[in-house]
Amino acid sequence: MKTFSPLTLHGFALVWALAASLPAAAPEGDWKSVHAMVVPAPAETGWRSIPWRTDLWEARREAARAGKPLFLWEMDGHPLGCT
Amino acid sequence: MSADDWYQRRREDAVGRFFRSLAESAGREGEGGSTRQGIYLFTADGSLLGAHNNRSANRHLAVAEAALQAWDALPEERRRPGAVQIAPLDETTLDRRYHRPLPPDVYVIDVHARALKRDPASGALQSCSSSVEGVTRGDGPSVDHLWIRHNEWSELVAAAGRDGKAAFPPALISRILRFHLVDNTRGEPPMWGPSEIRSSRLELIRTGPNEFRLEGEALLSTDPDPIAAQRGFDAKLSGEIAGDEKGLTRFDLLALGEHWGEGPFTRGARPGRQPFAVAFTLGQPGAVGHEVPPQGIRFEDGYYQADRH
Repeated sequence: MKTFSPLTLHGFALVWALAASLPAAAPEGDWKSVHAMVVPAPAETGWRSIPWRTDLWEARREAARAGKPLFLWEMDGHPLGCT
Repeated sequence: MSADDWYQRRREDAVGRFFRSLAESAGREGEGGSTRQGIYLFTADGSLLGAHNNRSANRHLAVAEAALQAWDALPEERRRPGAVQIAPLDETTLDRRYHRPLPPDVYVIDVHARALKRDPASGALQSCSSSVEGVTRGDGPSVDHLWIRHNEWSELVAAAGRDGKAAFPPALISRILRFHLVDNTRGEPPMWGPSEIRSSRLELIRTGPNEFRLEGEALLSTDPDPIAAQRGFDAKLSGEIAGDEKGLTRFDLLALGEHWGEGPFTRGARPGRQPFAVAFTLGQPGAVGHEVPPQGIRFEDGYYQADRH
């Protein structure tokens, strides 16, 4: 069976399988420590390891050249940029 | 491939027509202009292999596996590399109302919001986790982007360099407050209206050659009386920026305070006023999703001129 790589399905499953690591506590007055806690930890950004395309037409052209099917994740609010 | 359905289903160009045709073949007619969001698997020439709109990972995998089997069942002459020819698009034919490519003259700032909690013993802030009673969604950090035009930065940094400090211009501070100090940890949030900025200040203060401190505060609320407001965010703004008129090299900003309330698509907020923070950092060109537009830019003029619309 073919895989979707690089429009990969295997990596897609990571989005739902993230094990979030909790940053340490930070004093409220230490804005730099709180800032570091709010920015996503590496374990929360597994979805970034997938080379998502964001241009539907170019993705079609790439898939046609490679002889592969496409996987489209379409949401109200961009999955890579909203929530 | 990933996309925002709000744009895709409205586009009156080849991209929009292709997507709507694909969605309709999956039974997603978008009645009355409604959403066609979901997962679609298809061939480059537009034959549907599978689709669904369900959050279950197991459902995703089952649909994808079935789609791969359908793909494998296609004749070799439809699957081989180069079997399908797709012409490049003429950029001038794209529907600019619903097409938001990354402009060459903006800095991309990554924006992440996170629900926090206080340690009962020390009072220190901690990230929420799924172990927080009553919270079923919104435990993780949200993802969005702030776009700052190059000329906005160069004018701001020139003023701060000349005078020692400078207030953020109304359009930029309104953009940051209205579209980015929002609770988007559980879905698409309501943005703040212009009149819901009850007070605000954000200043750039020079601390060294090409180095600056950010100081300010903001009160956002749905009612002039924040006690009576159904939704609000009372935040202190702190940060550090580095750069000069030629470029921005660092942008660390934190909005930290108490947030309360929810919107139609962000149900499930914690009761009462709770610690909440939004962190801004300079984005990295080439990072996955770097080019994705801000959630608040669906009305482009309203985003850039947030103090006027």
